[in-house]
Amino acid sequence: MIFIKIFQKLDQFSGKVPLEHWVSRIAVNTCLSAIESERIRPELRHADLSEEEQAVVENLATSTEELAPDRQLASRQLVEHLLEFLKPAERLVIDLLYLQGRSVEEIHQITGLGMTAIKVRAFRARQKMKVQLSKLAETKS
Amino acid sequence: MKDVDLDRLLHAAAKSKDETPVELPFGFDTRVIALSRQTKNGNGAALAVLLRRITLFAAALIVLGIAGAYFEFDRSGDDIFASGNEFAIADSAIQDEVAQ
Repeated sequence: MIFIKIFQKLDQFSGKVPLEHWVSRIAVNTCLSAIESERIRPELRHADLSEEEQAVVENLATSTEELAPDRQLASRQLVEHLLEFLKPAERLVIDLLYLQGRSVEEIHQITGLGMTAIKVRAFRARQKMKVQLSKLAETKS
Repeated sequence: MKDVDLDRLLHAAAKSKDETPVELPFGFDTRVIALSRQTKNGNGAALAVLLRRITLFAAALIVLGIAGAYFEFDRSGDDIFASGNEFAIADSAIQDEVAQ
């Protein structure tokens, strides 16, 4: 996204400042805008999802079978959406524990968090993700 | 939504590799290089501006120095003439007294 913004605004680069400074300023502004937009609209709507992601939500609500391999990418994108609603520490734990498949012991060594803290954060994060998923499934129906 | 459903979702997501292409947009590097070259030329222009400013500043300093020197010379000239007049007045007074 930052690269695209830089590309779109290249004609606005005056050359009076070094290119690196200009690029870093755009990167910082883009990140701040993203944080601000998350703060303004903290809810994930069913309409925000792609068709594939919507299909994954429907599949989760209606079926108990494992998701098909062709749904894996959409599942990943859906999880990325859900992770956006977590605190950074919870996001990190979910990423390491479930997406990267690391053990609690490994996460303890990587992050320095206590075992109990990791489990508590994972539990809370899962609760939040379940709430968001339920909302998505409800808004669809 | 149950825990099992979330586990299914996370399990499927974990299987998917993050294959988002990390590539620069087409033509991006070319435009950046072109701008970088422009920037280098711009640096040359900036150097010329700097040199011009230095020259102007030096010229202003020279003018100020000349004006200061002229003023100082003028003032010390007055002192010389003033001391010469005083000497003449004193000499005249002495001569008057001697004549009396």
